[in-house]
Amino acid sequence: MPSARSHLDFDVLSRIHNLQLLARTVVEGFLLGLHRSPYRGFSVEFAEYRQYVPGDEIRHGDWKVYAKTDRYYIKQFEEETNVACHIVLDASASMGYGARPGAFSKLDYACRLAACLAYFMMGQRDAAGLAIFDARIRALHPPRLRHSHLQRILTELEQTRPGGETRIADCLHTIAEGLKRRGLVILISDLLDDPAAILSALQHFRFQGHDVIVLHVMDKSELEFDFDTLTEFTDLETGESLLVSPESMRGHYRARLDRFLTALAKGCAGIRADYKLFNTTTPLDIALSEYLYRRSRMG
Amino acid sequence: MSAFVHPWFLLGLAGAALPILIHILTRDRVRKVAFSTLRFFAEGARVTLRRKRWAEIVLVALRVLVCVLTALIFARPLLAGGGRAAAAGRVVPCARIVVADISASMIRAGGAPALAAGIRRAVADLPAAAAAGLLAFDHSLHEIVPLATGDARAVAAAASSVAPGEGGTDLAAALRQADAALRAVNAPRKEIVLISDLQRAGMEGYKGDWKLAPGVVLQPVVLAPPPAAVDVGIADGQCPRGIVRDGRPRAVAARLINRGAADMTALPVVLRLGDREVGRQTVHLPAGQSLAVRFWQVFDRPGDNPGEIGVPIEDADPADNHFHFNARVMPGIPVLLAGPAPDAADGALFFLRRALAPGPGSPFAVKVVAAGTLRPADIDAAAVLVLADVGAADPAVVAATGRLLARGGGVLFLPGDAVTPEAFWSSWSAIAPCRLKRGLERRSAQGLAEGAFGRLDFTHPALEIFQRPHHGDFSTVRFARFWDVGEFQASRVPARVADGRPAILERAVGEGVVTIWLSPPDLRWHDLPRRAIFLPLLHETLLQAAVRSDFPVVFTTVQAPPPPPGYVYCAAGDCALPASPAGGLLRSGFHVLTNAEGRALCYAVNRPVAAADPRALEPQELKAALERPPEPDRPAVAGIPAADGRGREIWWWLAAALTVLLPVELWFANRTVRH
Repeated sequence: MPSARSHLDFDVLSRIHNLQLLARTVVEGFLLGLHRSPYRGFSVEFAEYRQYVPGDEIRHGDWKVYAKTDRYYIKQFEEETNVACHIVLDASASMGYGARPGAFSKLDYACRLAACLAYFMMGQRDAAGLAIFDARIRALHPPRLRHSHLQRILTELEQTRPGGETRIADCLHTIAEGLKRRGLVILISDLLDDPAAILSALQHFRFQGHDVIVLHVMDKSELEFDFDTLTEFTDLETGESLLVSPESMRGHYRARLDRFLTALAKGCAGIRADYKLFNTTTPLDIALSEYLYRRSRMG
Repeated sequence: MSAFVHPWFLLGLAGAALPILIHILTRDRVRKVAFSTLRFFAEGARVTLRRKRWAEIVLVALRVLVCVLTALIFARPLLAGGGRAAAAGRVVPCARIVVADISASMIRAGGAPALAAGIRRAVADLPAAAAAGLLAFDHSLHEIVPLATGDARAVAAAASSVAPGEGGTDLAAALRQADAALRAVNAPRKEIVLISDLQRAGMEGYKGDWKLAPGVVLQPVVLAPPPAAVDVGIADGQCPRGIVRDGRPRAVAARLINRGAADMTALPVVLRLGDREVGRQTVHLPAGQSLAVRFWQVFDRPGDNPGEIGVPIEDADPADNHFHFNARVMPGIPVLLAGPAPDAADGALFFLRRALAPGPGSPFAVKVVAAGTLRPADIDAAAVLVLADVGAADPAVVAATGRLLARGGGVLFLPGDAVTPEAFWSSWSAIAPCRLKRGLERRSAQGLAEGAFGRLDFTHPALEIFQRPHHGDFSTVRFARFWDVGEFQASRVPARVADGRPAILERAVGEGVVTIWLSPPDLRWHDLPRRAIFLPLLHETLLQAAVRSDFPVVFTTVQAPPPPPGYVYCAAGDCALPASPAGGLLRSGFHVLTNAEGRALCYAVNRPVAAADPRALEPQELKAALERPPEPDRPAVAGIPAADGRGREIWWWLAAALTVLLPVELWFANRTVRH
């Protein structure tokens, strides 16, 4: 019997291009590991019909529809979830970095992460929403619990490509002003912007009563700067080029990166937002653990 | 031209390509990466690619140079020394240089015909491809056919142009020159053919400090004078110099040598002055012996008196039977007397004037001035300056005195009562033979002078005439006073008083001489003016001082004296000469010089003394002294010249260059960022 972790192996996941299938694989694998069964319930609010399949409870069947169509349909009801989860995904040009054999680009990783989270949230009867931004908000899907909503989210994620420059703070502020219900905001980004501005935007969410999880996605080579030959680096967003000798610059780069990461981590801790640094080889289920942990504290 | 001791190591030069290859294979290829952000990059991290490339090129060049130097050091290059051009780089089967002796002694050894025949025989067996040269020598070297470009035909053709002259013999220099010429040639066989009478005197310049290059063969071809019954020559001569017209006979001498087989009895020896025979002697000169012949002659004609001592016989070399001389007579010696009271009837000046001008035949032209009126112009016109009782002097007078001494004149100090030690020293310290301290009295209780001369140096020229018995009695002289002196360590002491203190001191200054009598010819000091020796002593003292003003007029053929100021050599009669015979006077006889006023000066030139030296070297002696066998571990190989000092030097320079280059490369590599 394959282990639960096998579903989460990179090699396995990299072969699953369908996000839904991937998310399902990850989530099921994760849940297997948690030894918990999925919760499924019906809210009192009618949400939609779906065709009867053997096994469904007959008491939820809609006989009026049957009389009209001579087909059995089951009413589905939207449960009053405790949390509306907003997945905020950075799709700026810098997120496109990192694609190479054996690793996802940051955006690919972030999309898979977002897909897994959305799938899991749905399974947990939480409404999931998605906002994609770069220099502006490119897509916005308010949190819903319907299955079709998940499909829309997954489809959006599959079609997401790296965009323009990063303006995290502005976009977060805009999103924050658009949120009607308190919930959980999960920011998936490389956060390559002014840390103070980012933290200010996150504080906006906190001010509105949202819980915030920051999933900071960076590529391994960004973290380690393991280049070893004379390299001309081109900024994916600004197009600026710089010819450097990485060996002579590595120490300085790491020092500045450490200061940046420390500033973000401390800043998030200061505003009571959860912060987690991922590199693109980090197993996806760790993100789910973060979500569960935070979710459990919300009650 | 250069060669290598271990040429196989030159293959290591291919290693110089390694740094280039490594550089090409490992050089930085700029990688292009589209990165997420540059915000974490350091300011100033930009690399100037062009500068980096140049730095890498310099580093590669340094490494290539290190490889090249290493290969060269192991290959051990050699350079041909001497600076002479090699035989145009061609390899010849044999190199032979003929060294022909053209000194005066070769005239008796067969002269030009024998020399020419010997030269032709020396190259007759040479192949056409062989290198051949001809070097003639006497006291200087004459390259007739250069070895670098010559061959046997050229040497044979030049043989008739070589003829003995009247020069000396410098065999050592000629052989060294020939050896140097051979070192510059590529040939497995190298030879020096020496055609000479091997006069021993020719090797006097050899100190044993060099030998011929290894493998060079020395072949002496001895042209000895044929044994002759009659072979007489004059080896050397002497004639008086700086003669003054004083009516005294002077000695002219010559040393005869009999190199023949027969004893010469009744050998005539004639003294000629100009065209006149003025003396003749008949001597007996045994075979193999030498004999000095002296003539006494009065030379009273002012100016040049050219003459010769000759042996009027016919022998193998009649030219060496003469000794030429020029007894140059000075018309008079200008003497300047300076004293405190020129007209006084006593004192030093009185006696000096009487002693220096006894009559019309006096050799001295005396001018007397008061010390206070002494002018530099007076001193400039004199040959001898006598300062009687003169202490301090004007600086211009002192300077003029210095000029007199510089041109060979003389100064005689006679300090007396008017001189104080301080004043004397303040003016004359630069030239004085001593420092005056104080006057010492030597009187008896009755006031009679008691001091006397003690030790006398009769080898001094001024005292020489007194050395024979009954030729001057100094013991009768009595000193009442004389000067005690100090600081005379640099001076000669021709005479002392009885207690050992100096009586006369002499010091050479410039070309002249300064003499001081420490008791002036003043009756208050001593009674010398009343003694018979006073006049000859004074005359000889002044004559010795004045002689230095004259210039030599007798030379040998190896000398090339510059003309005296204002004179030039001229062509006259048999003595046709170039204006400046830089190579020596070359011909024995008389050489005339003239000046702008048309006054003539005669140089008498003779062969050098060594030319008559009959002693000869044994050929095997010479070969043993100069030859070296080929080095056993390095057989003669065409193309490798002998490693002289310059060839060995280059190895050290290469090693030094490598030693410097390695740390430079290391330093530069550390500074250059490479991957």
